[in-house]
Amino acid sequence: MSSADKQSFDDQVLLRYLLGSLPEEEAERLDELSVVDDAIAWRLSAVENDLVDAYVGGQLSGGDLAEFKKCYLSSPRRLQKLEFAEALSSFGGETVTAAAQALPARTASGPEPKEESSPRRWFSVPRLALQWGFAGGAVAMLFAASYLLLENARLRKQSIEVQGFQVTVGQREQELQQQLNDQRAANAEMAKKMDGLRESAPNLDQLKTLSAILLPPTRGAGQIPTLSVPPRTSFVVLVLALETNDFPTYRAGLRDPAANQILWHSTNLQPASGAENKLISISFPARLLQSQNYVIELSGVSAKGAAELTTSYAFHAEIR
Amino acid sequence: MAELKKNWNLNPQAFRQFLNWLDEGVDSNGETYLEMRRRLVRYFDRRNCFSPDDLADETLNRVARKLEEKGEIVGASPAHYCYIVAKFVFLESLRRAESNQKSLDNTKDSEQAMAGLTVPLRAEEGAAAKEKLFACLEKCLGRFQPEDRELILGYYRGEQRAKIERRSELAARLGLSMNALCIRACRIRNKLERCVNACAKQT
Repeated sequence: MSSADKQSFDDQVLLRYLLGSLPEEEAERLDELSVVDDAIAWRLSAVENDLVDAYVGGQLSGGDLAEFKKCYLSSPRRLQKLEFAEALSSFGGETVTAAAQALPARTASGPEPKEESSPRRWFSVPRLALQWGFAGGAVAMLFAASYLLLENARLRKQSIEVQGFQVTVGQREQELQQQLNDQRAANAEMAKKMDGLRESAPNLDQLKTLSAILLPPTRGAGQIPTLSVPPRTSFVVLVLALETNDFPTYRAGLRDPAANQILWHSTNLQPASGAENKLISISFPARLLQSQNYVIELSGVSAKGAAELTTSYAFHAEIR
Repeated sequence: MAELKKNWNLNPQAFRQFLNWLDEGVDSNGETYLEMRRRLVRYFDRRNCFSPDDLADETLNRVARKLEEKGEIVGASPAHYCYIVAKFVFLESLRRAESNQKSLDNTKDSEQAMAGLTVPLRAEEGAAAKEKLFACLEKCLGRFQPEDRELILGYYRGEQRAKIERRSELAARLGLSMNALCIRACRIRNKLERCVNACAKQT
């Protein structure tokens, strides 16, 4: 692959590759470069991080948003990446704000500048008149000093009273600030809960779920079961009946056999309690289905994490 | 012979030889192997394979086995050779899926068994998982050097124009080109992401 060829993959092309909207030939070239070429591998990783962040920040729209939801979010690894991005986004905001608030505080608590004292010189004059003059002056100064001492004591008393008042006001201010913060936190918490309720309540009302049970395949001729999906169905819930329950957990994937593509993956699933633990339920968005055949591939996952294909459940979807 | 190949296990000596070959003379302390595995996992994942991790391991095992058998692999760089083998592993996984589909042609009609079963959704699990993830993120960030922590939080903060400007400022402050800063931030983020995912699995 020439360097000019590599250069032709700008960020927009990498974005389309990640969204699965690149022509197959170009996608294959990028498949290769993503493994072989360090620079492309890192750029791809960086573009992917920014793409997921853009989705989290609500900056994707139109075709990109649709492709992202349909193609990018179809794998557990990428869903995990999204969850991480959401956490990082919230964490980043809080931490940086806290750091910004802490910075002026640190600056303010720095050492106070030292006051510089100016040098003084004293001269002595050996003359009597001057000595008397000095004595008179000294007496006057004594009176003045006494007055100043008294005045100083009065001012100190006043100062202490003012300081005491300031401490009281400061404490009160802190208390009020604390109350304000508590109130703000409570409001934020309440707003968050309200948002959660607003998000979940209409969805639950609007959710239309189609449920069905799929039996393990048996030998012998027969048609595959048909799943009739009414319009505006939100979720398809399938209960898969197991022949035997040999694994602690399972994973399921919805495969489009015509395109040879996995359209959806589950996370680790545990058999439902009851019915000898031989039922596993999965749910996926109904929008993934069109009128054609599909296969649910169920793999058992051992305690060590190794996955092994155990059963495939074929069905025909009919969108009505 | 086929049976022998199927049951071949990666022994310590073959693994050491494989690591050296991947490193191409510069000891990376296993980092090149881990990076190659990560790239293969992403490749299989982008191809919507069912178990990207298993397929990446299968690829690396096959390359290591070939290296042990032949003593050396010539004609392609280690990364390129790994990709060639990965492509075969991918095509084989597609064929396995096709064969599974054919074996399903004779399934019995179970339409009558369709029933109106409902499974309750558990919304509270999502909130608990998010809290756990957040705690792990805090824990993992605490293990990073302060400068790395500052870099990642600064680099990925903000939106659109503000983000671009902040990144330019960061690059200038650190004396890095934008490309070098991008790779550095990406490397730290990926490392953090792995730490958080591992932590979330454990707790």
